[in-house]
Amino acid sequence: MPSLNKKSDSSNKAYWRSLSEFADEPEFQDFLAREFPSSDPSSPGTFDRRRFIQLMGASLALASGTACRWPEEKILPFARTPAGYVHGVPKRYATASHMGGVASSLVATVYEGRPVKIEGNPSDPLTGGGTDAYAQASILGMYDPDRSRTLHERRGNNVVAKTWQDFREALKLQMLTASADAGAGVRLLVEASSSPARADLLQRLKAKYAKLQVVEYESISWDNQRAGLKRLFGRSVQPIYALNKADTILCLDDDLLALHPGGVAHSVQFASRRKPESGGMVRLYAVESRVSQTGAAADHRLQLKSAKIQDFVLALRSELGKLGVAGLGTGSFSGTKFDAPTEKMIKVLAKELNVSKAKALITVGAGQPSYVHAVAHQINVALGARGNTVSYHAVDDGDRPSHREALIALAKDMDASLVKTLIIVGGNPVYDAPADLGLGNLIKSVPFAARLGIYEDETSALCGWHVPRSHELEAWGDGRGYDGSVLLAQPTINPLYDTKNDLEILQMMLGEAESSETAVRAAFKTPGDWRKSVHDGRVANSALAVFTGPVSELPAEQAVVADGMELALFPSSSVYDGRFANNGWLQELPDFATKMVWDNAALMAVATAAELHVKSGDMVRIKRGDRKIDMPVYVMPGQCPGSIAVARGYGRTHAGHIGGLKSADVASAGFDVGPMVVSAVEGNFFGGITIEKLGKTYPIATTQDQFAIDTVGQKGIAERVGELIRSATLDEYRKQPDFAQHKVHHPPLTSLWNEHKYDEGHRWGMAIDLNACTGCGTCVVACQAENNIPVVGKERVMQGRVMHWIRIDRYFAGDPTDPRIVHQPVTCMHCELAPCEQVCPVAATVHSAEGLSDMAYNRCIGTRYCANNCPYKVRRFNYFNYNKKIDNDPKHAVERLKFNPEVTVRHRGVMEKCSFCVQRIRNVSTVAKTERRALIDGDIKTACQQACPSGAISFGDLNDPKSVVRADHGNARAYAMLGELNIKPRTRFLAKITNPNPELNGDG
Amino acid sequence: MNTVALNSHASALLEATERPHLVQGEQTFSAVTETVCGIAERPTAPPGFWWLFGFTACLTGLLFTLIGYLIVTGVGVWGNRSPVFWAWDIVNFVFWVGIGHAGTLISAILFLLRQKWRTSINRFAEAMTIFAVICAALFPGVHVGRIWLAYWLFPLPNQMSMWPNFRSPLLWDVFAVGTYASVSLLFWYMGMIPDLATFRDRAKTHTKKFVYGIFALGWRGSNRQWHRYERAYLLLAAISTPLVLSVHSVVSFDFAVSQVPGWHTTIFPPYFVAGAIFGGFAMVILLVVPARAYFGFKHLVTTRHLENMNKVILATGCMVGYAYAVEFFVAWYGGNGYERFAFMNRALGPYAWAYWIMISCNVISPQLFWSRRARTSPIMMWIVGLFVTIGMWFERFVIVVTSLSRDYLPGSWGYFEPTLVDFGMFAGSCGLFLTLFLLFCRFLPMIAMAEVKAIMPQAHAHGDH
Repeated sequence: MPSLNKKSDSSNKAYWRSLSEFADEPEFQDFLAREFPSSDPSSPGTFDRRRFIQLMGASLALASGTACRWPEEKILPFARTPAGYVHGVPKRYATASHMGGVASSLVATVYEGRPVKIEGNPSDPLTGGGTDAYAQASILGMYDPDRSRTLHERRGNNVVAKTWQDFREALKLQMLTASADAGAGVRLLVEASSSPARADLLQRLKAKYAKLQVVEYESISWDNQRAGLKRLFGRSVQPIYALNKADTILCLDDDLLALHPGGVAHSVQFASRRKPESGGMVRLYAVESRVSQTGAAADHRLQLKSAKIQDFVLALRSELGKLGVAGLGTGSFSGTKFDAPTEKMIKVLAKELNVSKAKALITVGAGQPSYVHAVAHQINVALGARGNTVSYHAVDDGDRPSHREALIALAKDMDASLVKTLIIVGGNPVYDAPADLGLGNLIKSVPFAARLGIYEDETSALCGWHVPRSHELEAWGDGRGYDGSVLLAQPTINPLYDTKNDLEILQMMLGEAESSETAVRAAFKTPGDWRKSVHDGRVANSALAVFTGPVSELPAEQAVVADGMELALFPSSSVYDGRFANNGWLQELPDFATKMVWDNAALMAVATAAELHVKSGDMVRIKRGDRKIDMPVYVMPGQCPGSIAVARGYGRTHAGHIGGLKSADVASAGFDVGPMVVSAVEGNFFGGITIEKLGKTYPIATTQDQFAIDTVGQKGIAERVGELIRSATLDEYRKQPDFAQHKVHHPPLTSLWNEHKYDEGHRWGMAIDLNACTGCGTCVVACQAENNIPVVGKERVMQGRVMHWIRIDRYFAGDPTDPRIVHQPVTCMHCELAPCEQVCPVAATVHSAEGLSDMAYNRCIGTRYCANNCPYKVRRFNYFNYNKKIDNDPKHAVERLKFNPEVTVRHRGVMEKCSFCVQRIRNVSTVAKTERRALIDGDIKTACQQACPSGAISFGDLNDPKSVVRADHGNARAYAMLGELNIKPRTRFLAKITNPNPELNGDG
Repeated sequence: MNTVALNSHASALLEATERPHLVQGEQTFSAVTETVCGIAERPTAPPGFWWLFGFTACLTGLLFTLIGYLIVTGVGVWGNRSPVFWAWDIVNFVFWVGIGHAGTLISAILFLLRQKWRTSINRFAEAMTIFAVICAALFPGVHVGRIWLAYWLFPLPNQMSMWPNFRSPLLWDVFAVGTYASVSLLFWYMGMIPDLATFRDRAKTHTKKFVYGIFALGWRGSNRQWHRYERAYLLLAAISTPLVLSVHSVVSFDFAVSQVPGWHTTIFPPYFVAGAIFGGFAMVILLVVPARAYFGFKHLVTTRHLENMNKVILATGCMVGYAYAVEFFVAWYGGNGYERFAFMNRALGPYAWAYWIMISCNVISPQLFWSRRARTSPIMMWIVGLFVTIGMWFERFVIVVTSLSRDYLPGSWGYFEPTLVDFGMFAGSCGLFLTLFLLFCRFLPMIAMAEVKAIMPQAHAHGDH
């Protein structure tokens, strides 16, 4: 029983919630701090009446203008409801997110002041509403309970809680001291960004402190391209591709369709040229060391070590020169002699590029040295592609050094004790900087190091100050999209915690009032249409100007040394550079090729693995000089022999309870490849590595083929894959367009009874174009966000209990050393004669009048018979209560906000599956009904369809004669997978058509 | 014909004269009573009994602890996964239901077919049926995801007018197993009434007198009571007979009606019934061989009884073997690629070890019974019985798990691995079965005294009447 003697007389509470509160006991204060972090007594408690009225006034003004400060409603109910507000009806706001210096235009769906779903902005001219998985998952990042919520200062081993006012004053003092020598000792380490507002603020900072230096660093950087094009054009330019105008595309170690700032736009453009019914198809060649999504989508893929790409492009240039292409310089190539298939590929490629001329395009990946970029674009220009398939846009980024060089210089300065004040805004350089710089120890030695971070990560742990950063969805921001247009990001929710964003920190350094809105507005130069721009999320006519200057000669460059085995690094399609390591949705998103989750591994060719006597799951030590890392092997069919590929971004030690947290004894997901990165190397591949077997194994979790498939199984797969995924070459297709419907022969499918007719009303159906799908997995994350699908964790994935409602099956075909990789998204087909429904003893899954196979979660008792009888195995069972933490652990309570209120959160013991996003169907139908009009085809978009960057999925009413999905079902390529079971699936697949070069037939 | 047991004297005479007696030694009616009652009337059981009982009771405790854990945590404590959504839970269910079949077959069909030799073992077999069905019913009961709602499987009137789905084989299962359990229980209990009355009459303590008295339902042994009793017994035998065929047929529908390759075959009903009888008889052998030695009623359950059972095992074992072969033939002959693969995968795929255990135990081991020496050697038959029991468990494992693990889409294939809870619950169900069986041995008449007496030569001393 708490003592009823009040501890302090100052707290004159009229009302109290408990006796503990009345007594003002420390336990209660502690509880209060945990429950309501904002009322942490260590944070500013000066919330007086005046300030409250100020904020409320400002909030109201903002709410009426851009409607982004609505969470305030939670504090006070409406006295007068704002116009247009209907409780329970979500609002959609345009916003943007920023990654690696490129912004993408998004739309956030907001329920009662909390965003629950991120989608691409449908008005975006480049993407048309598609996104990548990172954007889809960003919402989970905001509600991450591991996010940093408080400020603190580290003094030796003591961590002292601080307030923003403390930090403001400390920073003021630093800047005041620094102004004595014009800020010579101040370094600002920032992420790559194209934000005009940030550029503005940095410029003002430099004006105020002439010697202040800004260091921009990004571990996954396109600076090699920037440097290469600078050599060619004499200035910074940004190439922008138009794949839809190309007939022949060559990607050199470049994942053009996925791990590229323009990946989404490229997927849209590429898919538009892969429809055999609407004219000629683009032909894609990929020359790469690891299997990228682009390589898997290519008509011809050549395995080549990353180190040999330079020789390859030089040989190609020389071959083109022989064919009479002008403007390629004089240097004939006399480098490495390639093997016969490569030689042939070069010849054929040169010939075809020369035929395609202006409709040809060569692209180079970020990891290749600048010279390769320069030569590739030299060829583009020589072929006449400039202005057609590629345009070069002038970028005004001043003369900043490349990310790598800037960081080397910073490390040098820190080593020489020249740095007195280091402000790190975002990024995580301690984790992802080249290991030889020893950044961690150097940062520790800086007298005043402050870090603005969304997590208290590896970098924050070594800085004197850590200050929490707002999530992108919580603050104003801007940035240039892939085409250079300025995109505006408006906050969709008040910051969940007492946080500031990067603009506000810069304002703080300038000693100005902190407001990201002010900063963005100040940088908004076009007068008049601010509201429209915020509404659209895009500033009209703000694209970068096309650079028309001439190209210069390229002097010959030293050959890249390609000695021994190489290690090639690439950004993870799940965690990117490590920033998404604590995002469960992305950690559990299977890699497009390996289907691995929660881990990275040393991807190794079949031949290399045989040579080293290792198999998937064996631990190996990768050594280069005195640097070494231990990690498991994954034998990847199609990987180039002699080249080991490893995804970056794993092995985080301070990511959080998902990605790894040393302090809480949470094991890291995956392995950090950082120790192998050295600053002296321009590319992202490192030669001369050795590999030794450690004699240990490591469990790798994959969502497919968790166990090695025996020969019987392999034979079985080989027999049926052709029936499940039907494909043909373009020539075969032209001879027999409906080939897909003749792959499986079966007796006529008749019925024993009179089947239900779906002639009237709606008849929902889906079509998935296998020709467009690149297997990226964006749909998987989109579905997870829309339908409140839980994350189950690595162990349970290994037990086969992953919960995704849509999955992408991946099959290899042909020779395991150089296979063809095909993808097939599989989700509930809503069979008209659904086998699952017939066997449910309690009628928990039943058909709706519109032909949806509905799940009544309340009725389900979990016999799992339906899942056994589903031939597509799309049903998912809640073996446990996967939301237990959210229910029980106060720390996880914030995660409740992420749930889509329109979709039931399932309890343990019930079956679940794809519902064709029935909540979206109902929402749109209700609006149509109240407006007394027919549904418009395309108004209902399922989450997967909406997110798909290549528009592979169509959905709609099969009874609507004009619907896209009906046209797709009528397409000659359409087929029903396992249709011979007479289950009448409502999803049709459109067969895959490849466009191989007849001259290369046999090895393509 | 008044009653089959007493009045089918012609066959009884034949047996009494030409064949060796079913009951051996110089037995009198009272000696039979003494032997059977003596076991239950001992003031304390021998220590060996308690050791065994303690062990099985521990296993039973384990079972119920694990069930509690399962209910609190979720079905995920088992190894079930996608695509193997049913694994040991259903394997154990089918296994135990199958075991029960021998009991009903012996009590009902052999009774109707006037196989006199059944009388010494039918009580045993019926008890085994009841206990096996209890074990069987447990698994589907706890395997559902929301155990607290499992009663929705029953067609209970409710405010939503929501009925179960009568198209689902699982619902048929509920009815089939429910009917089977209740009829078997009734049959067993009714058959025991005269013997319970004997126990009551011989009881020395008030408690025993009272309890046996309650269950004896006031049996006096009057002519009229015997007459009614025989009639009722005959009727129940007639009702049970179709159940022998129906229960396992319906259980097999769970698989045959679905469309999983390897499940969807028309041979399942007869094949399952044959397999059930096969496995059930093996279990009777497993239990009765040590029991008759331990409790000393070798003269009542004679080698001839055992040999007859072994003949049934041999016959049904051959049927099962034939079914395995026909499945393969049809998979090939049917021309369905998925089905053909399912069977190739059984024999040569990752679960081939289970398949070959099944073949060795079920098809090869009973072939020993072609030899009379093997058929009559208690040790040999016990070993074969053990093999058959193992084999029949693996048969269900092969059918359920192997078929599910690789169905249509290779992208969803998986490999089931049991967890410790899986093992614990199976061991626990064996413990429950044995515990109930030991209690039966201790407190109830293990041998149908009244029936045995009816087939003794003395019962027909006066010839026809």
